Amino acid sequence: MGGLIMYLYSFAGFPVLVSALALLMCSVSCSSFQNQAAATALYERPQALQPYDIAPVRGPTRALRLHRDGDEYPCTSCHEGFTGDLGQAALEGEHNNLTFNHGLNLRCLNCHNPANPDTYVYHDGSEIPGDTPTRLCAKCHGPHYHEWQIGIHGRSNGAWSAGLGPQTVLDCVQCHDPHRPSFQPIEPEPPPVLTRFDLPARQGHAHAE
Amino acid sequence: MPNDSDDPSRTGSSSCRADPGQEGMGRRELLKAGMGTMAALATLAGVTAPLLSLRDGPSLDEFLQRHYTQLTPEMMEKILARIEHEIAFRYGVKTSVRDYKPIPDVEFAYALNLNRCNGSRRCVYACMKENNIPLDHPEQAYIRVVELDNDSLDLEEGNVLYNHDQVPQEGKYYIPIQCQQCRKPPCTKVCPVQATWTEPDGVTVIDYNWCIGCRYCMAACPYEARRFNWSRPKFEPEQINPDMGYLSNRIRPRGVVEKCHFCLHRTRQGKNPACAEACPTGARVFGNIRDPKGKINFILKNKRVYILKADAKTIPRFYYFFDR
Repeated sequence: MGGLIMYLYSFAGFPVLVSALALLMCSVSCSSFQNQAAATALYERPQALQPYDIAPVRGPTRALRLHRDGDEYPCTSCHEGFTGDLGQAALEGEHNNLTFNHGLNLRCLNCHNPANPDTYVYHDGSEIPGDTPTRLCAKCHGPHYHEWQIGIHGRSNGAWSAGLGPQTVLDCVQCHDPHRPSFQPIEPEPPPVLTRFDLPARQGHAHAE
Repeated sequence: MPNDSDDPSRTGSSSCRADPGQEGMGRRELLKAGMGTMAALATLAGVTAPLLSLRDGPSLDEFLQRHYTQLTPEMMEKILARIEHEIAFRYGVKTSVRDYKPIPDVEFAYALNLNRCNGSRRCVYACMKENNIPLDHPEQAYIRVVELDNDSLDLEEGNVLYNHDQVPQEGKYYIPIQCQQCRKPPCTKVCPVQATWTEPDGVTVIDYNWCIGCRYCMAACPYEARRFNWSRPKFEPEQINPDMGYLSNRIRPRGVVEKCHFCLHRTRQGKNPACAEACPTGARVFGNIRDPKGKINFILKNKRVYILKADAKTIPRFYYFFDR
């Protein structure tokens, strides 16, 4: 064996020797792979599991209802035959929990239908169903509506092109609060730790308490 | 036998002559040679001893594997089965590793709306979960979100480690930086073994079995988009994403370079990349730049578009754009 190694050494030098030895050891470790993997049961992740959050910021699009204490009330339960000036002052009462900040759009009846409070109203007075408010927003926000139709405003989940598979396009109100449409600040995920010097600074607060 | 030529008594003699005075020397020489061989063997064993305890080392098949472009479908089948087997052995997870091929007539491009991005880092963590990056190593993430002052575009002044209660902060904006999938990538040019190259659909990929870990590409990249695996990643079984691609998110071995690959295992099946799926503001737009009526071309024709480090002349497929 030693003579063989010396012969190999003189013939082709050290690299051949090392690779021959490496091959020998690799084949040993290879066989141990197969023995041990077969012995244990494998974890299989459920197909339906979504590992990261793709839920819309404001949840699914809901029908136009008053939500109070976990219950839903149709608008017509109060607004049947309700008359009067529905300006911003009317946010007192049942609607006092609303934060209203929609730019120049200051009147309730610009969007809400006075004839049928469970629906929205278009320019010509026709109804827009209460559960599909996208066309209502398009009354004023035409350019954004156009970009949303093309797919460059707002998020769509699923296929990156409509022809390639199922696609879920989010509605306006799944990200924007209609009474306060600017996107609200959210909490960021934790920062990356770039060097070991960043680590004690971040954990120091926890240890000090 | 270093003193052979110095000794005058032996200069003329033939070594095979049966001279009683020379016989002892012959045995001694034999012993010396034998000792030398043993010493050489012992040294060799000592030098190669770490190889014996090396459990991270490549298997024989991996050692003899050929370059990605030379692999036949049958060879690739075997390789994928081997990788699945190794992951099952090391992590105890049943996975499906596939070699997804480019879709014909598709060239991927990305557009990111800088007016919309609010720096929430949702994309960073979605990417890490999708691409099997350990969550306790956020510095390995492919995406870095840089916080900049509103009137500046000096990345040197940017802050990657911002940790506010809420984003966006007043007077700041946020620019996520990941691999720009350049049309003239400096990283593939410097690779000494051609372990990284640009695919026909425009994505620069790395063959993790071919990479030697020299990190030249990391030095060449103007966007600092590449990451090096200093250690073999550790996972709980439920943290591993079992849908893996050979060139994309399979668990990388120690000592190789990795980077964003536009989630090839998803996008080549028609799905959005994970970062675009998770973006809460919808700032990220992914599409096919060869589709003249597609989203990307609409942005390029109608929006103000910004190319990061355009002076590097890498011609990225990643565009930043503005609404206003």
